Amino acid sequence: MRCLILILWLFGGVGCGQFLDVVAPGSKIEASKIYEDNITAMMALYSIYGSMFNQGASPAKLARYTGLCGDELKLTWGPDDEGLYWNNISTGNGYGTDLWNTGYLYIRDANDVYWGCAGSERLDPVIKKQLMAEALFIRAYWFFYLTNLYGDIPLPITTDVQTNALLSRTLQRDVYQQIASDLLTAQENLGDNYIGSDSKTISSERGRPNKAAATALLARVYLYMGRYEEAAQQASAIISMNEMYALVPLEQVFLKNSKEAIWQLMPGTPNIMQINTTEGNEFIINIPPKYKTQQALSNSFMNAFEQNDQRKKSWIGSFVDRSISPAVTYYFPYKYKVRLGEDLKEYSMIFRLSEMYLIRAECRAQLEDLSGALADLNTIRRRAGLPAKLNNSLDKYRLLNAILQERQVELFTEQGHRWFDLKRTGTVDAVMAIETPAKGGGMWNATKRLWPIPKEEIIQAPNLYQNPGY
Amino acid sequence: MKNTNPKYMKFIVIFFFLMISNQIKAQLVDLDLHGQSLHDVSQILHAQTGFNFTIQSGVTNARGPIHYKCSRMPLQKALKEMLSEDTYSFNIKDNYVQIKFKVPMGKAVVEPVLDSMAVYDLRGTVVDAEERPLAGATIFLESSDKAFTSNNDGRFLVPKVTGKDTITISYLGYETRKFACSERDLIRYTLYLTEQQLAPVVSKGYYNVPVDANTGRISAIGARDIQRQPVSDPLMALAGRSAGLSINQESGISGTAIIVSIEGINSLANGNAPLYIVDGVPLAMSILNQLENAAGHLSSMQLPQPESIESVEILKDADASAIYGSRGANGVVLIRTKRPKPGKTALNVSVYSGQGKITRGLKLMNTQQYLAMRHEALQNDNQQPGSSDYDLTKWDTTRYTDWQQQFLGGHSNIINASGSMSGGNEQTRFSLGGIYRRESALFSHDFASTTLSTDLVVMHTSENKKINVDIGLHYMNNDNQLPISDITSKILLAPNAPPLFTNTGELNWEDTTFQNPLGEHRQRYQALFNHFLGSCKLSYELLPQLKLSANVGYNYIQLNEDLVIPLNSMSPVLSTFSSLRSHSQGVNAIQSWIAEPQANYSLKLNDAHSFDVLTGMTLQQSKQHQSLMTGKDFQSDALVENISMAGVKDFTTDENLYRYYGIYARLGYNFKNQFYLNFTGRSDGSSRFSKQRRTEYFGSAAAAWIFSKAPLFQNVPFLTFGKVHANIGRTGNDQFSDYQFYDTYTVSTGYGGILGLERTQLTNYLYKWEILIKSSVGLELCFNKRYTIAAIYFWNHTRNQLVKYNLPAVTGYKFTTENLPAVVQNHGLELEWNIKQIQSTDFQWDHFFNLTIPYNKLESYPNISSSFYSSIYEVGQPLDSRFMYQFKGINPKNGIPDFKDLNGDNKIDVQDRSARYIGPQFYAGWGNTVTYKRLSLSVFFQLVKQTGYYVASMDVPGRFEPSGGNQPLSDEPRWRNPGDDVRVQRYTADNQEAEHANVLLTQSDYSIVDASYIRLKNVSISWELPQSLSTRVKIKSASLFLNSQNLATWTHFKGMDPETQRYLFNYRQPPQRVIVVGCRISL
Repeated sequence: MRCLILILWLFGGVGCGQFLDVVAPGSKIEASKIYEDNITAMMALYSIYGSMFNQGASPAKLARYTGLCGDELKLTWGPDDEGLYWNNISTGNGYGTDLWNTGYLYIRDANDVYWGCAGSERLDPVIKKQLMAEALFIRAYWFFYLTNLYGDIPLPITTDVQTNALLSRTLQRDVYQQIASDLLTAQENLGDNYIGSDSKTISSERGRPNKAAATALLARVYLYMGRYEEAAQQASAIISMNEMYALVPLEQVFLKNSKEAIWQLMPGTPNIMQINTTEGNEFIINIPPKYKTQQALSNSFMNAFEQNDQRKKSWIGSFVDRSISPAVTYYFPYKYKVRLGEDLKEYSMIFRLSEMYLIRAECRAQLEDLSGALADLNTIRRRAGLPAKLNNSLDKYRLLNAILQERQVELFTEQGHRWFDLKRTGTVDAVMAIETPAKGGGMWNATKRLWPIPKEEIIQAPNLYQNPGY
Repeated sequence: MKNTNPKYMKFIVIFFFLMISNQIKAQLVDLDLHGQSLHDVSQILHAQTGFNFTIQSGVTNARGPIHYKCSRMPLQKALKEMLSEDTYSFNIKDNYVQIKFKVPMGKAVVEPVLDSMAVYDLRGTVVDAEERPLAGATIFLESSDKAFTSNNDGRFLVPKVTGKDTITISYLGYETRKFACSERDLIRYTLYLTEQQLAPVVSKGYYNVPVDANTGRISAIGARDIQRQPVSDPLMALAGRSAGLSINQESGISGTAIIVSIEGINSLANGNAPLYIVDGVPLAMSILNQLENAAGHLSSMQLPQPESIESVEILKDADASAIYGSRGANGVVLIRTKRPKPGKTALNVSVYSGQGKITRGLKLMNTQQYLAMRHEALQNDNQQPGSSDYDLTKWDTTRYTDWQQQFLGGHSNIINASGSMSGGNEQTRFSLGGIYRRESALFSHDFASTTLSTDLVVMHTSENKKINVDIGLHYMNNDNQLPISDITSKILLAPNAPPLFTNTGELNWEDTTFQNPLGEHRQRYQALFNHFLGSCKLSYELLPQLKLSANVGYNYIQLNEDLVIPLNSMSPVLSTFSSLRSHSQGVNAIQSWIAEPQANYSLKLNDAHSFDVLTGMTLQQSKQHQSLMTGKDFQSDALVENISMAGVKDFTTDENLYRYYGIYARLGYNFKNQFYLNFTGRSDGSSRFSKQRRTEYFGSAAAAWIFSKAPLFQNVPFLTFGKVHANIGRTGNDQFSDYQFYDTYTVSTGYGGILGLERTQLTNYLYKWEILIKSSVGLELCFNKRYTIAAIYFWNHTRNQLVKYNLPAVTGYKFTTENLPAVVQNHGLELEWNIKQIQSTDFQWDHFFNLTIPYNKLESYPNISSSFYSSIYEVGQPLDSRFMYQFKGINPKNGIPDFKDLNGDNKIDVQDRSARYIGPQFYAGWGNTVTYKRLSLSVFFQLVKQTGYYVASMDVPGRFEPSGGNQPLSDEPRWRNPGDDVRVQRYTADNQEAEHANVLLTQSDYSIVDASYIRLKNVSISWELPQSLSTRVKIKSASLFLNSQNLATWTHFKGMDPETQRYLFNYRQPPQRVIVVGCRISL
């Protein structure tokens, strides 16, 4: 008996190995199960849109950083953004790091969704196709922004961390190739209609990228690549869909699901702060700017408007700061009218028809179709209450300048159009050579076109090197 | 240590002389007997004199109960008076006393006269103090090297002894005693339980060993020392009490977490807290609060309350802590709660009450001095007071309020009542106790911490003594109400700031120019702790040498938090922002259990060699569940109490499961009670690691040699005891988050009405425990039985540091968890001495001292510059270092601080910081207990030699700050005119450059100052009522006492308190000076 107790006692512990196998807690889901189920697979994708809305690289932040860096915005208060504003970006923490880190985070998530879906056999084929196409679209979208901010960039297209950590920089030309090829695939697999949150049924909300969204980005990418014919072709494809897309009066452009919208970013879920758009929330000045790090529209930008441009009335707001004497008037982007509100009225506009007209105008001008270009340009001018430009008054060079100027006042503070336009058209040096000293940043230098890769990144990634000038 | 202040050394030297100048006087005894038996008396005398008593069988019964009283009486005389010389005789030789029946004259003729050479058979009985026979005791005859065993009745027979022989009787758990074979009558040889005697055992957690046989050194703090201190957190009572143990309060607010470290910081990235074990049950010591409150981190050390603690043992070295394997790296704190003793039912009641005040304050500017500073500042900047300089333009410049006095000048009220009932017999014992404690906050009695706790202990032993059960149940409820933030920082309000209340008694916001600090007092924070701890220990003696036992425990701790922020707590400027109202409720609960079966086998090969073998297993689970609900945007203050009325609600929840499994073993070897070896080993598995890396092995080897027993040292005069010991071993640290190896997704912001799922982390399946290699050598000496000195040198290395390993952001991940070959080194010297200074009947003086000289550094870290830790740690520097700018001086031209441009790039930025050490050089504790008759006085000092952090104010002097701006008075000359070569910056109201420089100044070595201190940590006086008086009022005993904590502090530190100073936090409520009076009554 005694021996039996002893033996039982001594060997009672055997088999305790299983005791240590804990399951994932209720608040977490095992990675291996995500792409086994339609809902969780969709949720992985929605997480990207959710964080694009409210995190490190929101539409407002893209607009703010590029606006301060270029000639759109001026600093009202806040030493945090001084380096950026003065075109003297440090390689340390801050704005440069923000967009780089967040951009690659979205790309990682997009790769996760793409390869996760690709390897799964349990997903509904329709949903699987949709999610994979959207993942490619998101990846292309962020590659586009990163290459325009930083130049040649590493190009992670798989989920293999070991490989990605060792990537070197890919030439911008090849980055564009990858973007274009991703977008063509996405285009093929996305439908004409917008779909709802079940990723299947048609929705009236223009919150999920559809085929036209991929087309719009492709048009932009071809334009940047100088492939004008293809760009014009893609832009035309959208302009011709009159049923779906149309220019609307200025006050209605940025409303949710406006007919001009090709893709709008809706607020994340849940939206505790009741933000409609990050632009509305961050740009509208309603208290003296010293209480809140904010920025206002620059003087040179305000002077860029022609007389009677209705956009100046409709899309720009002002605030008089009387807390200092003499009082100062600040002008701010007012395309979005809602700061906070439970009742959602506006969504962040990512692609809209107006840009397609301007892309086509530019392509046509480049391809010597000046009248065609002028027609497109005047379509936009007409809506802004401006007189049409006449055929005989412009040569190609002037027409291109007019289009660039039109883009400036039409697309301002929409995710960096102005900064990228300056760079791709080669006008950046001329413009910034005046702007930078005026902002207090000293001499402009051509190396400042590109932002520095974060210092940490250069240390961590063995095969990356810094942009010249940093 | 070159800079040791000679003042401290003087103290030490003086007392060293004092203690050796005393010698033992004649054996004087002090008796007050009311019907005790002779055996009881012998026990009392043994305790008082150290003499061993042998009493002939039957003498006790024949003498019957003794009533006798004497004081300072020589032993011999006392015995004479107690025992009639006609009937009994007694013999005092060396330190043995023999009491027997007097041999009648006639009989002496019959019996042969005791001849020292005569050979006879010695018969005797081994009994315990209660006269119960001890079966299986070993009787060892030294002359023949033979051993004998007592039978079931405790009887034994040793053949062929002579009067010159001696026998040694030993029995497990009892003190081994030596007797002279000078009496051949049937003698009862009494053995005393070791724990009641001079050679107590020391608990090493899973097993106990006699102190002498310990192969390491363990510091123990007893109930008396803990209960002398009127503190709510038992950890606070340990400060300074043990070498190698560092205890720091983060702030003086009741309920604040205590920072504890044993022998330094071992881990770069993971926990450095020791393992706390209460009656065999590990405590969950994680910080539970999720909401903001004045205390910052709330302590979760809620059980047991100080009154319930019997002893605390600190396991530091590998020898003791390696058996705890993966949890033992940072040392182990073993807490044992009180256990009932058999006897008449006893009722004990103790009540005390008192007050606390802050230990130290600042000398701040008064209105006149403040205004002068402000004007000088404006003048320096060539400015006139502007409209936002409320202190000069809007507020009454003749007003003066001493804000420090206003906010911290008050006192806290403390009341503590405890009662317990205990009793039972040898077989079944119980105790039931309860404690009530309330401690109000310093700044307002509306805020208080109230604790209710109850303990129930039941013990049972079977008739054959083979089965033992010990059950302890402890429950505690603590309700801690605090404001949302520590008001201490508000003592820097401008001295002419407006009154707190208007004439009508409303909070004064002075036309919205004043941020009334009392607004926050309308914000209500409540922490409600519920803590239950149950332990059950079962043991069964299968064979005389083999004991099986099992320890089962359950621990549940839950913290409910409630934070209400109404709008009327804020300035009327904000009165339209209903979104600022908020109400949060958090629940955080940890539920854990442990089961530990164990087998213990003792083997005595012969008289020289004996072994103790122990093997056991641990199964442990800990489950944490936390949730937080936040409501915002209430329409009115009337609704804010009800979270369901919130316009916006948010709810988060999380849970963690931790499981742990281990097998451990210990082998102890004893060679002739002179040479000891101790081996421990453990194999652990933890759910915090992936399957591949789950198992790890830990262990230790230790040896001790009591050289004083070796022939060479036997004749050294004065040397009572001498031991050297050494040990080495490896322990582990698994104090990091659960599920780190688990590849998971967690809920995130989603889109289109559906939530998102995002990847939690980049999973590394291959990381494992941090490994700590500990080694130490020690020496223990005892002279003249009274002077005990122990010195230890320890040398610890943490390898395999589990750190965040940075990844390029291109991968989409910032870091992953990885073991790096980084090494942290801790070494140091620990010294403890203990002296029984005077041991006379009426007057006793005990004295103890401990000293720790720690040294810590990051020995290596491959490629640290590219790691997450590059701005936190520097190779070759202590882990306590901070990266700081180097102050160069005040620029004589403009009065602005200058800093060294270390990298020579002509600008001062983060690159120009270097690691500077802020921390202790040594720390010590020094205590004295003096007892004169019924009066007892205990005085305890804590000494710390350290550098600390101090800046007068985070704001540049001279600037108006609505929430502060006043400055401490300084004797040092400041910059006033160009060309002034001084060390204090200029006053400035609005100079961007000076303000920027001031920010750097607060992060520069300018703010490293001497923060050494000597603190009179505890003074305790107690007076016991004379027995005659207490008998008259029909109580067993009663005493009155006065206890005080932090009574006085000597320091050159310029800030508020040298103990609560922290980097970049300079004004937190200092520890309180507490004085309480109370009484303790036993019925």
